Formats: sequence, structure tokens, C-alpha cells
Amino acid sequence: MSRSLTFASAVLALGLVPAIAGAQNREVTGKVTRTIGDVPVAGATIVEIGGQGVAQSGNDGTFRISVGPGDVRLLVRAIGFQRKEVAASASTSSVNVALDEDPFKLEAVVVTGQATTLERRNATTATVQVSSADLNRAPAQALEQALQGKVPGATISMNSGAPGGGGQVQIRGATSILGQGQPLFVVDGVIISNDAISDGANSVTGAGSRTSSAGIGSNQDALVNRLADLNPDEIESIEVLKSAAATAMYGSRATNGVVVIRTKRGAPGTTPQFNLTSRIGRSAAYRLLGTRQFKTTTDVLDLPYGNGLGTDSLLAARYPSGQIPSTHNYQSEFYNNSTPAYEVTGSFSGGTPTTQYYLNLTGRNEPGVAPNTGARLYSLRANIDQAFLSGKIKVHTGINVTRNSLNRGLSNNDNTNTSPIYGFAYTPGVVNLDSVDATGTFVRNPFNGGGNGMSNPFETFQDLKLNELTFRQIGDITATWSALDLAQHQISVTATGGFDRVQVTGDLFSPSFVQYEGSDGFFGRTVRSEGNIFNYNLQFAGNWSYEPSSALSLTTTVGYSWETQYNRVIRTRARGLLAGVQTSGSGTVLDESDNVFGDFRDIALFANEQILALNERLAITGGIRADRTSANGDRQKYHPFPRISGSYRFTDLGELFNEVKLRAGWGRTGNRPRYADRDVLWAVGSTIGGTASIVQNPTLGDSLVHPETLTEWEAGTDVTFLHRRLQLEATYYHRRITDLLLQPATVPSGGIGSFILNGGQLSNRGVEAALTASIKQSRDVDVTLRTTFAKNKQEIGNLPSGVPRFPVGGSFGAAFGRNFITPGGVTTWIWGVVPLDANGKPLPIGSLITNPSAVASVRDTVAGDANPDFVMGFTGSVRWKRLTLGTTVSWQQGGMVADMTHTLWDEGGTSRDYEAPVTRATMGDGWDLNVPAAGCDIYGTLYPCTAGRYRYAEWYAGDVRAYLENATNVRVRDISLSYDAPDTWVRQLGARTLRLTFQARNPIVFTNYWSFDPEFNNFGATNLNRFIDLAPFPGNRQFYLSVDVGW
Amino acid sequence: MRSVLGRLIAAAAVTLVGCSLDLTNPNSPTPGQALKDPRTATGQMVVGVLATYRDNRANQIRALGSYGRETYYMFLTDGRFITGPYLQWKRNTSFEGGTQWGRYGNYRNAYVAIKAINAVPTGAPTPTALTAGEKAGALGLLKTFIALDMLHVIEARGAIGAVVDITDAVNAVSPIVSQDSVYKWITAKLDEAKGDLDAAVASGDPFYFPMHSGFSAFGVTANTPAGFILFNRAIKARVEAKRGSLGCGAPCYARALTALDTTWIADLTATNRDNGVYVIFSVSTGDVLNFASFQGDRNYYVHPSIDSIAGVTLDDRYRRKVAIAGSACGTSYTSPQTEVRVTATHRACTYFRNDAPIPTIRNEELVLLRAEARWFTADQAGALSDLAAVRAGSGAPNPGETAVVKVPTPATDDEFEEELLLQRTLSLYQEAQRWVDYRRFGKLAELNTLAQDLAANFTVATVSPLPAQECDSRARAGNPGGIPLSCPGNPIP
Repeated sequence: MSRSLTFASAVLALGLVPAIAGAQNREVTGKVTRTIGDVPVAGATIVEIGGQGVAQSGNDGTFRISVGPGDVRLLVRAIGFQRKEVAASASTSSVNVALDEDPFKLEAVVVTGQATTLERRNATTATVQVSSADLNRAPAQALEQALQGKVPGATISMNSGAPGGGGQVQIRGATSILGQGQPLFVVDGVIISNDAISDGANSVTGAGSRTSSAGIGSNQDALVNRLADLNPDEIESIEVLKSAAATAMYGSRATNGVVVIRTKRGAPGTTPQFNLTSRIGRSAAYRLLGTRQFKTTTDVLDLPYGNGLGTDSLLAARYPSGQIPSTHNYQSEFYNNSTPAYEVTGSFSGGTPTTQYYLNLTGRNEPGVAPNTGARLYSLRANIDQAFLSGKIKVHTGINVTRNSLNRGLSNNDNTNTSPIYGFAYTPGVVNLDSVDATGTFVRNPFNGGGNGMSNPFETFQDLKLNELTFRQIGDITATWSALDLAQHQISVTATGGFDRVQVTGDLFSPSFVQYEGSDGFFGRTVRSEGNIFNYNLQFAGNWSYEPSSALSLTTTVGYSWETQYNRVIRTRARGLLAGVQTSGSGTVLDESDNVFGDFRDIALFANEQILALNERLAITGGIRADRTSANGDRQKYHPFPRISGSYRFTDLGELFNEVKLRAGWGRTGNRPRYADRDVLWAVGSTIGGTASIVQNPTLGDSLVHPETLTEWEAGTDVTFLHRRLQLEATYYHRRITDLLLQPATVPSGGIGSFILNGGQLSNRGVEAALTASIKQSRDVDVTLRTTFAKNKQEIGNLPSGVPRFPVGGSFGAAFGRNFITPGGVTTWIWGVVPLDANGKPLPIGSLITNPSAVASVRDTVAGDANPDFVMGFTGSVRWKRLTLGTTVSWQQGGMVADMTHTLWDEGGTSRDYEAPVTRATMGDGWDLNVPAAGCDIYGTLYPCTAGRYRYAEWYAGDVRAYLENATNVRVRDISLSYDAPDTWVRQLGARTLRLTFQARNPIVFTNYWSFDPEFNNFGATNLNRFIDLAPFPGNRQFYLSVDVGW
Repeated sequence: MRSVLGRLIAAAAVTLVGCSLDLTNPNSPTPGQALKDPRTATGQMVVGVLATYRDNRANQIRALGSYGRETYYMFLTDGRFITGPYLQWKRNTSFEGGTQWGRYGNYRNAYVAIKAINAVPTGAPTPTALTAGEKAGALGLLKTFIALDMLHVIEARGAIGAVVDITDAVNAVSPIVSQDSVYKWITAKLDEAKGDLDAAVASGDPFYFPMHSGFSAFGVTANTPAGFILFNRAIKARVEAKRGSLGCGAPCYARALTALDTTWIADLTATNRDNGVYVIFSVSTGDVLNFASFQGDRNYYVHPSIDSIAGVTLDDRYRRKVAIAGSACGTSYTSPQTEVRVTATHRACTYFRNDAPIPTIRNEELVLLRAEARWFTADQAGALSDLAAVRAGSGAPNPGETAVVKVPTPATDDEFEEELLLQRTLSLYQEAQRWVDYRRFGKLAELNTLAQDLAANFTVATVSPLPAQECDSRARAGNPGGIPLSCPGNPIP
């Protein structure tokens, strides 16, 4: 279980138990600084060796520690620095300590059990820690974005560029087909909710059927997962547990990894400190799609889809000569909101040896690049640590209150031509949509027959209200009682508890006069949704440390935990509104849904053992946890999740190889069934004649359903070499997931849609590596670089007999590509229709047009692979005197994306390269360039084969590959350049520190991908099918100027 | 300190033992929860069958309307609603491919309801008991709807045949039987249902569940066991007539006439032509709207082959059902629409309001069935008088109207079929009949004469192929009985 950093680093890493015991008879003060540059080191831990004094340095590096009488030795440690022992003789009252830097952060602690940690140097599994500085190099839309490129082995993607976030973290590949696919997020011991709730955009877009109450909202509504409410400014560090040998301590919710987040805390013995950070910046859309340049009115009237139909007179009036001098680029007119973004964060922290406090208040406003969009977050956090009974009892509490208001407009799939990228695709830029008539009404979009089958996005974003307002409270408390404290034995009892309460209020109001209104027979609609989430977890752990000699320590933990989640969403929708009335009581048709989407209770018993032996060279961690959960068919049965891992360090190998650590681990974790999978249920049918009805549930539950099981072993090495300038971490893992939760389709003629069962097997194997180089460290210059590499391959081992291969749920179909679960296959394969020759071999792309006689069949087969060949990350930090430059760069090689956005624009005849000639450069690899001179067949008519027509004609004839595009990209995720002001400036402000920083997020992207961003996904966070790009909110780059002042 | 530790451990143990993990699901009932009140639960399940039958109706009209050249479904952003049924109908992954397989879901609704009803103790009416008569009434209704749903399946599947028996094993691969066997099974099921209904009538017990107004508000009283028998017989007449045209001939047509005698059939007039049983829609919460209606879905366009029937603009059926001046829809949507290079001029307006009912079977169809059955049982005069009544009562009830006619006095079976098909096309427009009718008389080729359809390489579907999932499931089970027609490895019939 996550604990406070101060507590953990000061105490547990030494295998000690907290105690500030009785009589202390003198105080030693001092200052911790960096050897090079004489910079104060904040947050260093100072421990009296063999005694009981503990202290921490403040932001100015000073500390004050109570020590015993006589000569004492102090151990001084700080993350990012090498540890140091200093002597303080009986007569000394002041010591100054200079620490050498440790770019490999071996002093950091990693979580190893519910109440235990280890130093990173001894870590037995691959660990990733992201510090506050790395996390906050540039402001991010949400925590996921801040983590991108920094966690090898984790695929972290934003679902779109909409303000406010919405992203996905997937660690070591997809480990489930149906079950939870996101890691568990734990903030200071609280397992927080990462649910996503729709606000009802589907009621406008009709992306899924919108006719019944189940269709008020949908998973294509550009959902925001609730990680968006976390304020990165409050975070001290993030630790990502990947290996089952580490995550098994979280039992049946841990197959997807665990992200342990620690928030900032006050340091003991420091004077009150106040820090203020102000940022101002702006967002700009990047990689907009451009548009085809229409030259004549005939070009418009001749659009393949009938788009231009009925606009003859309009075009004749506007372009009497028939010539169109210039084409509107609607996207650049639309996505150009440049309202400044700002953020103000103030924090107040400090502490005495018994009481520490940290208070942070952040206000952040991030306008979106589309009109009237934006995200506004207010977050308050208060952390208090208090020791009682001379330190025998320590209590850590924290409370976090946030208000998060999101206005994200419409994006993604739609069937009503209302989301802008969709609508613009079918609207040639020959009318000025961003204009109003004499009455103030927006210009009507005349294309595609006009009327309410089309929309004017400028009007839509002006008049449609779509707001998600979240109030959230997270509270945590950890109490440790040091029950026994002898030289060799320490016993402590820790209780950790926390709650997470989220209220999400969605308000959608679409007034009756907007162009698209009425397409379903009703003018004006409103959706009110209330989501309530209440989670809490509670854990008791007893800890016994036994240290028979200084070379050996044993820590035993036993305990139990209790976790519960309550999730409910109530939605009401009214259609056919009274003019101007926004409440759902006013409509002609009222749809309501009241849905509990996940109530769970979980109970676990656990026991762990941690051994440090041979002077901390050998570390072994093992444990077992047994879970039962309300989601299982058998609620009484405990499912065991064992784990064991160990490491051995070869030290003193000389200067070439300073230290070599070998480590290996094995563990088993679970992924519990989904809510209600265990129940055989009937369902609510529709109402007819005023009578509600009961029908069969189209899915048959399984009363024996149990957790999916992931078994993983990993082995790796951490090598420090070349005079401690380089560190290599390398890990190989192999995970096998058995007893998969499956929902195969039944025989349709049996009258049931699908059923639930456990069975089958997936496997993921991969390599993760990181090379950290401390290239130069001197008074004026520091250079540190880190490169990471990850490669993962995921296979489907088998399926239970009786389960046919099946497409992943929520797929669009063979024309657009989908993941298929088929024995012996690969989960990332993209299946779709492909023309084959007589031997069953795929023909070149374009063959349906260029060489139809060679096409023997068009079959749904493997057309591509979404899995990247590899992913690399580069982070670097360069300091030159007072200037520091930091950056994160990532490189994804390979992987395919179904670029359905491109399909739309070609279908609408408006894509930027629609009329480009068919060449290798315009078409890409794999295409047959010998297009027929007679032309390309678009709906039965031959047109000159241009790039756009050829692509669309081939796709339309039955070749999914026409829009499967390579996702290779290199991008600068973030960059910051900061300047630490000289003391003379600072003093004039009456301040302690002053820093000026220029920050940028996503400043540069290199890719040949046609649409916005190959990382975006129409379906948001999904285990599979994560390669569907369909009319997202465009990506944007952000630039900020920041001022940090400390007093 | 030890006592504190002891107390903590004790508290922990109490928490651990005291908590139940048996959370119930508030969203949906388990059968056990629901059947604590079997009278209410089984009654709501019967309503579920009626509601689900209704829910499938609009999609049926869309799919069969495309197959049968009644409408183009011009969905703005996805032309596959046209290319699926018109061009790529052989692919079992195409749009509308495998249509009507949701009917098996309703079959299972009825199957489960029947089992639940049979399990309820028989006795005096109480919340936990049903009388024998109540049970018989419910069973008769449910079996009639099983037969009706299966009729829609075989109408879509045609020569492929269909599965007729479902069992408790939801994933069992049951045999596919021939089209003829399916029709025989349906008639037997209808007769079995009638036996139950007769028993209910004899008991005097009414239906114990609410019957929606579609059974009583349209000139027919079919909301009682006795009245429902009329509906059962009307369906029976329809099935026997179809069998008659599919090779059975006069014997089946004779049974159709017998069945018609015990329906509400009346010589056709403008006032009684719409008497029948309907499915109803409403804007009430939880209810469903008519998505085959002008207000409910703007994408239905009249296929130009309907517009081009000689003299059709003077026929009242066209004037009522097409969105032109004088129709309920008015003229506001008459501009031509083009999609995937085919163009239509008018939107369909058979159902104007989004809560307009859709007929399940009505008098006009009964009279047309009688005309057909009379012709093929050597009552040509009766047949022609029925057709004349349809033309007068439905095609030209008002001054200035002239009903279309192709062969005023047919001399041959073929001529009669041509005339019958024309009258059925207009009389039963957007009731999911035209495609099935042209197929059963072997005249599908006549549906594909429109120049723009031919230019687009459209062909007429002979069947709606089995859905891909059905093929996959059967293949996985080793294709007992062989690879079904229309599945990969066996051609489209």
C-alpha cells in the first residue's frame, strides 16, 4: 500500500520502525547542499545511525535534528543523490553536508508490499518512477499526458485533443478482452475511481442508436476518464508497478499494473514556505487536415456523394462566373480559439518534528482550440502528518477537493453530421459558414440536401451546451502504531483507509433552432445526467521486523483489506422542448435511465515476507494474497495470488562495471469479472401501450464466473558502469493470461446474443530497456540523458471449445478493420476485407480497380497489425549555469491505424490531396499505381483516377487496406527551458527563490500519418480495437510562460 | 498496549466476517426475484413478446423495402444501407444481410415465457397461481407470435430454410430445415395455438395481462381469447396462401379460404380497409417511436420504380403514402436526393407521425389474400371482384382518382399474378411484402428494371443470407447437416 514518502524513505527503507523516543538532549542543525554548484537540497532525510533522531531538510536545505548525547553519526540521503554518512561529535551543533548527485535515483524507495518498501538499488522487479519535476515539465491536459513517453512498457495515449483529458494507460499490452484494461490508480493509499461517464452527446450525434433510453449516451462520446481530476502539481512522485511479482499485492484488480501516486507533504523541522507559480499560455491546433481547393462550381456539383446536389442556384449566385477563387479552410477558421490559458498554484508547507503540513491550491483554465470549449480545474489539497506519544503513533491524513468543469463540444463518430470534422468532410469550402444573416441566424449548411440532415459547426458550438461538472473529494488516512521497538525486533500496526467520492453532472442542451435539430422528428433536446461514484478502501497490516544482525533483516507483514465501489448514473433526456426551457421536464418525449454500472465489494487477506541479507546485496520479496469479491460467481471462495521476486547485487566490481544487479520475479494476479457477469438475468423490454415488459437478457450470465488469471515471470538486470556514469536497466517478461473472461456470441438461431464464460489464453512477451547516462556534471554544466525502449508482442493461445473466433465487441465491421479473437492469432492484428488472388494471396492495394479480373475473392482476413515494432523514449536534461533545458521525445515505429477520418474526407470529396495524381508519394507503399485510363468507378460512374478517388474507390469496392495507415511518429512531448534568477533579483522581491520557465507541450510531431494523430481513438479507453481514428477533436500544442516564486 | 492490539484485531475480525458480498443487481431481475410474483412477471413477459415483435417491425420494413424496391434508405453518411441490399446482398456481412435474425430473440422470449407460465401452479387466480384457462390463453397468444416471428424469418431466408426448434441449450446448433418444412411447422404451430385459445375461450377466463390497443383500436376486437382467434386465423390464411404460391397450390389455398372465413374479412370499402391488428408506438417514456415513419426517420425515399408505375399519381394509395401535395406529409420534402449515384424524388409517407401504428395484418390484405386464394381455387370471378373492390375502395375512393390497373381482366394465371402483384405493391406498400411476393411468384427479375439501378450493377436479392455469426457458429460445430446455403462454401440459392 502506498505510504507517504517522508515516512517511507525515512524509516522503512532502513528496516526500522518509526519512533521518536523519549529523552533527547541536544539539537544539531545543518544544511544539505549539492556538491557541485552549492545548491540547497530540499527533502533530504537525516537519520541518526543507531539512534532515534530523524529530520528532513527544508527547501533551503537546512535541517534541525534531535540526537542523543555523545558522538553520533548521521546518514543523509536524498532522492537523486548518493547517500552520505557524516560524523557529529559531542561538541558539534552544526554540520554541513554536501551530496554527490545520483542521476539513477537509487535512493528512491519502491513499493514492495502493503506496508513495506525497498530502496530502488535493491528493487527486485523492473520499476519506473516519475518525479514531480519530470511530470510537470510542461502543463498537461491530464495526468496521462504528463506521463507519455516516460514509462517504458506502458502505452499511454490520449483519446483526442479535446481540453480536459481523456486517455488510456496500458501496461505490457492488453491483458484482457472484456475485463478492466486500465491500471489501478492508488493515491496515498486510496484506490481512486478512473471511470468515465457519458454526458449524453450521443443524443445529438447518434453515433450509436439514440432512440431508446440506453442510447442517451454512448462510449463514442469522447469520454473523460476521471484521472482528469487529479492535479499534477500536487504530485510528488509516481511509481508504475508493471510486473505481476509486484502487482500481485493488489490481487484480483492488478493484471493491468498499478500506478502508485504520492502527493507532496510538509518536511519536519522546516520553516513555513510559500510557493507561487503562475503560468500563462495558449493552445494551437496542429496538423489540421487542410482542404481540397475547389476551382469551379462544377467541381462542387460533381461531388461523388451528391453533396453538391440542390446547391446549383446558391453556387450560381455566389460564383456567377463558375470559377471559385478560393476555398474556405473551415478547420483553420474553426479551431483557432486563442483565448489564453492560465494556471495559478499556491502552496504552503512546513513542519515541526511532530507536525507537518502541506496545503496546495490550484486554479487552471485551459481553453480549447474550438470555440466555447475548455477545461477549468480548481483543486485544493491539504496533507497533515502528526506524531503522537513521542512518535509511537504517526498519523498521515490528506484531503483533496476538486471542481472540474469541462466543455468539450462534439467530436468523434456521428450519424447526424454534427461533429465538426465529420460535418466539414462533407461540406466543400465554398460558402462562409462562420457568418450570420440579418436576423442573427447562422448560415445554413446547404450541402447534402441541407436541412436538418446537416449542421453548421460554427452555430453548433455557439448554441449547444455540453458541460460536465465534477465535484470530487478524496480523503486518506494512514495511522501507524509502533507497538514494540527493541534493538532487533520492531512491531508496528498500520491502518490505511481512504475514500473517493465523485459527483459528475452532465448538462446537454441543444436548442430547437440549431440546424441539425429535428432530424429525429423532435426539435430541441436536453440531457441531464448525474453520476455518483463512491469508493472506499480500508486496510489493516501488522508488520514485524527482525534484524538479527546488521547484515540481515526480515520483515513480515500480515493483514487484510476491504474495498468497495459504488457507481450509479441517472440520466433523463427530453426531446421536443418548449422554447428556451433547458430542464428535462419540458419535452414531448422523455427517456430515463437509472443504471448501476458497477457495485463491487472485495475482501482480501495477505501475508508478505521481505528479506534483506548479505549486507543488502540479496533482497527477496514474497507474498500471497487471497481475494474474494462480489463479482465472482462463488462469493465465498478465496482466490490466491502468490508472488516472489529477488535480486542480487554484485558490488565493488571496479570502476568499469561499478555494480551489477540480477533480478527475477514470478507472480500471479487476477482481473475480476465485470459487474453482473455472474448473474443469470432477465432484462427490461420496451414499453408498449403504457405497459412495461420483461424480456430475455441477450447475454447469459455465468454463475461460476471467476477472475482472469495472469501469471508472469520476468528477469532483468540493472548495471551501473563506466564510473557510475551509465546505468542500464533491461527486463524481459512473459505473461500468460488464462481463464479469460469471454462473451462469445451464441448461434443466432438460438435466440440469445451471447454468454459469459471463463477460458482460453492470451500471452504477452516483451522487452523493456532503459539506458541512463550522466554525461557531465560540473559546476556550470549538468547533462543527463535517458533512453528507453519497449517492444511487446501479444498472442492468443487458445479459446475454449465451443467458442468460435469472434470480433472484439464494439467493432465497426470488416470494412473498417477490427481486432478478431481467433486461436493462434495476435490480438493486435487488424482484420478486414482484402481482395485475394486465386491462391488466397492478398493482391496489391488498388487491385479491385486496376485488375479486378485477378481478384478471386474478397475475404475478411488479416490486413495489418496495430502493434508497433517498438517504442522508444528519450528524456534529457541539460543545465548550463542558471539555465536548464529539459525535454521528452518519443518514437513509435510501425503499427497501423484505421484512418476513418481520411475515409470521411475522401467520401465527401474534400480531402486535401483528393485531386493529387496517383504516384508512389501520394499513395504510399503497397499500392498498384497502374490506374485504368478509363477512370475509377465511384458508385457506378467513371471518374479520372486521382489519389482521393482511387483510395475511396478501392476501399469502397472492398479493401480495408486503402485506409490502414502507418502510425510511425516521432514527437517532442514536452520541453522546458528555465532560468533560476540570481539572488540579487530574488532579494529585491523579498523572496527566496525565483524561476522563469518557458514550457511547451507537443511542440513538434513528425509523421506521415494523414489525419491528426495516430494515437487518437474514437472509442476512448478500450482494451482492443484501439486503432480507430474517426473525426476526433484535433490535437493541439501548448506553450506556457511560468513564474515560480518561493518565500 | 496489548489490549489495544487485541481490540484492533477483534474489530478487524468482526468487520471481515460481518460483510456480505451478495450484492444484488438493481438494473435487471434474476428469474428468481421476478418469479416471486409469477402472475405479474409472466404477464410482463407476454407483454415483452408483443413489444419485441413491435420493436423489430420498422427494421423489417427498411430491409425488405430495399430488397423489394419499395424504398431507398438514404442514410446521409453511409451509403451501405443502399449498396448492402441492392448490390452486395450476397455477402453475409453486408448491411441488411441476415436481416430478421432478431426474430429468434423474440422466439426465445416466448419460449421462456411459456416455460415460466407452465411452471406456475394452476389454481384459483392469486398472485402466485394462474387458472388453467389463463394459462391456455397466454400459451395460445405466445405460440401465435412464435409462428408469426418464424414466418418473418422464412420470408427473409427463403430457399435457405431455417432453424425452427430452439431448446434450453442456448448455444446448440439446431438443424436447418427446408423452406417448405418451415411453412408446415408454422401452420402446425398456429393450429396448436388455436387449440390453446379454444381452451381459454371454453374456460371463460380473459387474458390476465394487458393487451395493447393495437388489438382493439382498429375495427377489430382481438384483445380477448375469442377475438385473438380471429387474428390467429388471419395469420394462418396468410401462411397458407404463401404456401399455395410456393408449390402447395389449391389445397393450401383452400385452407386459406377456410381460415379467412373466421377472420374479420369484409368486402373492401374505404372505411373498413384498414381494420386489423396493429403494432402501436408512442412518445411515452420507455416506449418506442415508429422509425419507419416520416417524422421518425428522414431517410426513407420512394424507389422511382414506384413513381413510374403508369397512372400512379391518380391512385389514392400513392397519394396517401408518398410525400406529395395532399398527403399527410405535405410537400416540404420533395427535392430530389442522391446517394451512391441513385436518385429519388419523393420521401415515403406511409406512416407520417412518429407514433403512427403499423399494421400487422388488416382487411385490405385479407381481401387480397382471398382474391389470390379464390383465383387458384377456380373462383376467378370472385377473385376479380375482390381485386376490383381493392381498386375501388383503396385505389380510387375519391372523385377524380383512378386506380392503377395492369391487366383489367386477366385470362391466365400469369396475367392474374401480374395484376395481383401490382395491386399488392400499392395496397401493402411499406408493409414488408413486395419482395416476398415477387419471389414467391418467381418474378423477382421484374423488380430490377430501373435504369439507374441497372447502371449501378444492382441485382435483386433472392434471399437474405444467414448472418456471418450463424455460419461461423455452425462451422465451429462441424456444420451438422452440411454447410448451410449462403454460408461460405455453399452458394446463395
